[in-house]
Amino acid sequence: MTDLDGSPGRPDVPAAADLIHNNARLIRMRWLAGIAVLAGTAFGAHVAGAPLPALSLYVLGAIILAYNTLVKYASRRAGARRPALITTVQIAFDWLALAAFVHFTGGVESPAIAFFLFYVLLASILLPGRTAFTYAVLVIGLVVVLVVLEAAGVLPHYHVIPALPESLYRDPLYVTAILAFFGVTLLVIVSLAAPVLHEFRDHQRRLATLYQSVQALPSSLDLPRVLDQLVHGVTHALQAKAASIRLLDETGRQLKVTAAYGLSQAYLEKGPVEVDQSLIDQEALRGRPIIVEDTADDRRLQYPAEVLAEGIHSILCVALIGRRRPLGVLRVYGWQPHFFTEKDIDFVATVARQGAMAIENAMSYGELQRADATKSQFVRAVTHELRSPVVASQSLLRAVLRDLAGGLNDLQRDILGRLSERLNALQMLIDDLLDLAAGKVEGLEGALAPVSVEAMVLGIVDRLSSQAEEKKVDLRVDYVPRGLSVMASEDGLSRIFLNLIGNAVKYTPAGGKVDVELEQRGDDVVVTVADTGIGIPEVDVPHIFEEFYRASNVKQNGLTGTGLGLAIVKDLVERYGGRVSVRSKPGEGSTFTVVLPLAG
Amino acid sequence: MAKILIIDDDPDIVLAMRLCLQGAGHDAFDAKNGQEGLRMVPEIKPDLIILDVMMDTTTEGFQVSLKLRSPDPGSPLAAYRRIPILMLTALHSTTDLRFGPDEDYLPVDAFVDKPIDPDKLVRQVDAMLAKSRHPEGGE
Repeated sequence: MTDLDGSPGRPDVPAAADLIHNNARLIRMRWLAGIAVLAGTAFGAHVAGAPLPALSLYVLGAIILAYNTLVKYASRRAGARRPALITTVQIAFDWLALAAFVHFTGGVESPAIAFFLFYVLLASILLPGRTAFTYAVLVIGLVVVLVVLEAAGVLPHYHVIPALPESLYRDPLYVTAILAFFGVTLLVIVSLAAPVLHEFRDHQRRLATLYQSVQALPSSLDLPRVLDQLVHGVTHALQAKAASIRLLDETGRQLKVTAAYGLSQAYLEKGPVEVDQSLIDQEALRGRPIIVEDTADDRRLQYPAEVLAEGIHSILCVALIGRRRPLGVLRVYGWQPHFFTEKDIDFVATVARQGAMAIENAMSYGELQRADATKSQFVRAVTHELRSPVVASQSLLRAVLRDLAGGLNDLQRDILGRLSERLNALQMLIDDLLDLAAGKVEGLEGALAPVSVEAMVLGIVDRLSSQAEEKKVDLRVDYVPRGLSVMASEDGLSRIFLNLIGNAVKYTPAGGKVDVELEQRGDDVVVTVADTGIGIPEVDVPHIFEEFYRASNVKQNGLTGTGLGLAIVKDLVERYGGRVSVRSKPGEGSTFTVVLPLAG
Repeated sequence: MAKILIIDDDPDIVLAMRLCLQGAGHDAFDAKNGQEGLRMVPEIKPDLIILDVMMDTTTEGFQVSLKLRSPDPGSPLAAYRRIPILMLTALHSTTDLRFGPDEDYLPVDAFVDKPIDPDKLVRQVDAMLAKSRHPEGGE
């Protein structure tokens, strides 16, 4: 049997929780047993006047209560860790106590012999089939040994029921008959109870597993996986023949098998299901679970011959209803006619509700991803087309401005200079867009390698130092060399710090300073870029990493920029598994913090 | 004064470069695709080739440079395999095509970015010409 998650089946033992629970129950019942032995002896010996070995029975009752105290203590100490051991030890003690009880109450004549049935039944419930069988054989052995030892005179025999002949315990026919019936009864109990109980427990476990996986489904965004889990899970939970999910196509007129379990390829390829022609699906899609109790005798089927040939004798069909529209149907196929119970219908309906939510989530996520990829490819194509004319125009203008096409008068030079500036800004915007689009398109497969953050930050500070000096901004870097590397691409990492440190220099007025700090914190490297610049107004802070967002004070001050730099920073930092944040006060400055996981 | 062949499909880029190179006293010739460029090499016998990386296809520039560096035996190009090649890249830094001048992979000598900066272009061209005329640093 395959499990829901495809892992091999678990070993055939009850869950530890069952054992712990049952151990506690055994302990509770044993208090009663001990007291019953004491009370029963008092009544039997002193009131009813039975010739019982009262002292021995009192001692036995006391021993039962004593070891129950020990078992209770042990199971509190170790029961949760080793419930099976606790169970085995208790049962062994109980057998000895029960054997003693049977012995003191007449051996083969004792009605207490029937108590052993109770233990064998318990073992069948609690323990794996083979172990329960071993237990039954041991119990039979124990009783046989007791009875034979008494008959042979090795153990004394207590004759407690005066009405029975005194030598009955030595009568070969009687003893053999009692032992044979006793043994057969125990073995029958085990062979009947164990498989039934295990099947029941398996079933329960499958339901629990299915329930859990169905609960978890809506958070899974992988559509084929969601569908597969549903059909597998439902088939196993109901022990049905098969299950399938058919989703409506774009027209809403045809159902297409999107996931199936337990059906032959030929059956799946029998043809499309037209909603118009499938009464069952039509009804189900209206939201009511539909049952075909017997496929041999149901006129609603579109492919009756194929259904029978496939060995499908009953069908349960439930719609998968999304938030706004029906998505399709979940069908479960039964081995026999009248396979499904009312409970099964409720159960499948619940699974279908959760499943529909999961399917819808996965579908919208898939659409989102496709839209995002298409958008990014589009942006990339457009920016390439945009960049070519812009760079060609810039190239020409620069040549003209260098007087390579003849001399210019001052006005012409001024105008062409302005033109060139505007083109530069346009090119910056396109380059940023291209970065952003490239990141989105290639982000997932881009190969990352360890890159030294220290070397990168130092290099960028060095590159920007002349610009800072020109602006009279004090640009400093503070770090202790530790050889810190992160998994990134060299270009991307350079882009991150060039943007952040470049911005800090750009938005800091003369006389201000920019401090870059680099330190290790746990498994992360933390780079902070703090400036004493114009700062970011509070309302803008939450949006500052959004694409095309530019803080209001930047626009007012006429500072140029594309509004994409920080979006790119965020995109890249997140691609490398890190995060970026900002603290800022208008007029006082901003501090950007980048946290990246260390390589290795 | 050197003969320089520009292979680029963008006539405005060609014009801008022509202005820059002529301003620096060089002779500029141009071809608008790889095939035409390769045909012109034996005719013009250029001292340097400026090659656009991306013409009709993203790899046309690379293919042309490979043909120039390792021509088929007996091809008229065989005599020109040592001509310095300057590759023009329109590609922005973080896009996928990014190679260093690697003899195995990309047989070019240097790169220059678009848009063309006249001073940078001329400096680069002159440096490459000086190197090819005086290999190993002088005669």
